[in-house]
Amino acid sequence: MGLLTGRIERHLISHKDITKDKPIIEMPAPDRIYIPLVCGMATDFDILVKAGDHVDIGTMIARRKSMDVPLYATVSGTVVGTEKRMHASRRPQNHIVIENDHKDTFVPIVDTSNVDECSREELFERMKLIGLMGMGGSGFPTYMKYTKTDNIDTILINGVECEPYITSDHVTMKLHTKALFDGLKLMMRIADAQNGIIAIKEGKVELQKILEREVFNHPNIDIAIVKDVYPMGWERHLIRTVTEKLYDKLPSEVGIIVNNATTAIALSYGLREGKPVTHRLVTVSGDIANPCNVHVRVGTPVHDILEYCDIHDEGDFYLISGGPMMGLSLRNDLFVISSYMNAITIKRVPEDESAPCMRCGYCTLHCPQNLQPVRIMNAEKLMDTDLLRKLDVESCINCGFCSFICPSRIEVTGYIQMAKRRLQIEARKQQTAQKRRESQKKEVKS
Amino acid sequence: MNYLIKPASPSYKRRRRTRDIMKELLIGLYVLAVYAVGFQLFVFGWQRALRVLAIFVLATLTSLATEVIWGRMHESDFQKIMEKQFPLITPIIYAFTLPATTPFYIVMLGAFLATFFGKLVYGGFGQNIFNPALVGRVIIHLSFPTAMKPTVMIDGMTSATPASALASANWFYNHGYVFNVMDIVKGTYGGAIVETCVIPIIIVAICLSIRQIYDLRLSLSFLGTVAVIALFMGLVMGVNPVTNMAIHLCLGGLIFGAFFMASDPVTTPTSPFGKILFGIGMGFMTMLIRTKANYPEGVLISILIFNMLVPLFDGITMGRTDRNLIRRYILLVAAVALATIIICIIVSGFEPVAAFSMIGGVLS
Repeated sequence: MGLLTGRIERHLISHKDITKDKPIIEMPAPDRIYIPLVCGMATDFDILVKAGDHVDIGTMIARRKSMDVPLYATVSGTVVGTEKRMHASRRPQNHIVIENDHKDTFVPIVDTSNVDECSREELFERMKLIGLMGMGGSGFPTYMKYTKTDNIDTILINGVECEPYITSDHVTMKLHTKALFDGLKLMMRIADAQNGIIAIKEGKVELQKILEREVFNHPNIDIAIVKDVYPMGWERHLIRTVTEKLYDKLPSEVGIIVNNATTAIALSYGLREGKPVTHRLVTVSGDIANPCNVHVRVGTPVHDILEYCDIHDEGDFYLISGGPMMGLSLRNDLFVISSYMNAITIKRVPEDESAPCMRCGYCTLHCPQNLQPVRIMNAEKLMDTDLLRKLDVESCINCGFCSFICPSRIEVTGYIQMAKRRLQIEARKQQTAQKRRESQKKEVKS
Repeated sequence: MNYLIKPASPSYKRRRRTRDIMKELLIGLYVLAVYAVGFQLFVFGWQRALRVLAIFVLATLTSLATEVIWGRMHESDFQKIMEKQFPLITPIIYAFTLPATTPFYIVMLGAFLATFFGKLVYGGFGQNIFNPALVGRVIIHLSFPTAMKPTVMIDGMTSATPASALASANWFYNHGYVFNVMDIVKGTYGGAIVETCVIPIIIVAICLSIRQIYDLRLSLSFLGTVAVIALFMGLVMGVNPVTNMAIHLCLGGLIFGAFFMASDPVTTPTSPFGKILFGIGMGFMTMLIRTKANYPEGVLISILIFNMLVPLFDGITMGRTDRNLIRRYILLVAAVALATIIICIIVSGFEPVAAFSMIGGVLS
């Protein structure tokens, strides 16, 4: 809370109780599995299998071209081919379709011998081979954070889960506490870091007790309890709160690597048992009659999950991949669960419409990046790119706080996304214009 | 289940809406209005109390009628007007600024002008440049100067109100000033309706700010600037600085203006820094009008002048609000200091031109 900067964070009504202590629903693998050829925003994949090939759990079926990220089959069976279908990012993407034979035969993906003795480099290579992607929702390849580890001294495990409704990280941490600590220790070894911190929100009494019991066995690991506010799960804000350090672009500048708690758990299972991420705990929640946590195979269509969990509510809904603050709403339930999707939120469409902006400045007071969303919105309406650039739109992190807080129910975040796109298009136009000018110059010279 | 697509995240909204904020503000204003009527009843008798009540009711009805007729012309029903235009706020704020003796036809005319020229012609709530209540108030103030001059009864004699008496002395308190400071704070002399309820206004404003109805940054920087300037003005002129400060804060509807008119979010900058600087500017302008213009309405006119300058103040705070923080703090302190120095120079009668010509005379 600053006189000139505003309050930045705020407690949200989180609705986590409706799924937190419910028993987990185990969903059997469906007959067909679709593995999306998507890693974060990138879609450049080499497909390594062809139709008719037999695959086991752990057979590498594709590999990303630019960064070395392998994708593994999550069921055993026969490859049917590739199919273009709607992805959770709201774009049609290629998926590899596998017909499930329900035998679940398994080949280990990495060498699991002497994990505790082998060298740092060896561990890093194995980590790379597991093909982990940041499981908090970003889908960023995890090993990329460990390529340069010269000055790293702390690994921060992000178990904050600040979005409302989602409890999958919470439940996973509770069930796999040993693996969480093991994964953190492996991460510390790979990065050669001395300290590990696990950050969770205050108010999670049970989880806190379990972690505190376990932490006695690990002298260089700490538990940080942070306030129950949004956007505490955002890397920059978490580091600012826990270690009081500020950085410019990447947390490695201040010697910290941040990883999601589920990523640490998946790393532990990957290195110890040679398993790829085959299952994923997904919170299905929102304004529905029976919200739950489902343990599903990666690649299961959301349609099957909703059928299996018996979710049939009447009315108009937004179907959101991810949490309600940052997740995208989708037109239908054909998209599949990828390893980094932690929730499906189903929100009832509100009846009210927006009122005129009264310039109250709540969005400016709450922006975690200290931007001025209301002025960005007005500049975007005027299509004033110079003003947009001056207002520093590009540092927006899409947290959705401005739309959340707006008492007039204006889609401020939507306007900001439009503004960002406008600047990107502008930049691209300028680039092509410059290229054209240069080529014209060359022509004149020749 | 039927799935609709939402173009942008998030799909999760805070419960409180503009409607709720305005409702709470309105409740605060009505509490004040009830207090004002009750106060008139106990101090000045039931005729005066009825008169004040009639002013509130007439202003509200006129304003509501204007909104509804305008809404009919633009195919908007009553429900929509109440939900989106908030027609009840403006007339209450407007009525508070009037003296209790204002003729009823002027009250109605002002309420109409406030709603129509202050708000509707710009396109309704959220679009207006000026505070609507003040537009109406200033127009009738300039059109009916004699009828609008408030008077009070002292020892059975009609006399000027504390504010206009002070105004005719260029707003600085001296030993010839007959009014008692404690009575001014209590409001027992009368004057404009707002001047009778200084303490309840502060209480309501604190309650509303705890409920986060509005941002206190602007109001407090406005009041703070006036307080600092009045304090130093008292020191320079050799009168009791604390009394001078109290009088300046309590008279002329300053507290009401700072909490309920200047802080109207529609007509203020949006960034915290802009708001504070804006408040300092209004404090300076108020004191400038008070000391130089021989005029009790410094608050109203300074708020209106600064409403025009909102884009300028928005332009000062570009980009992110957490950049150049130290420079911004220094700028704020410098602004208050500069405002104080300028006002002190003006009231002390120091004329730069005369000084320069004197130096020039010596040199030649």
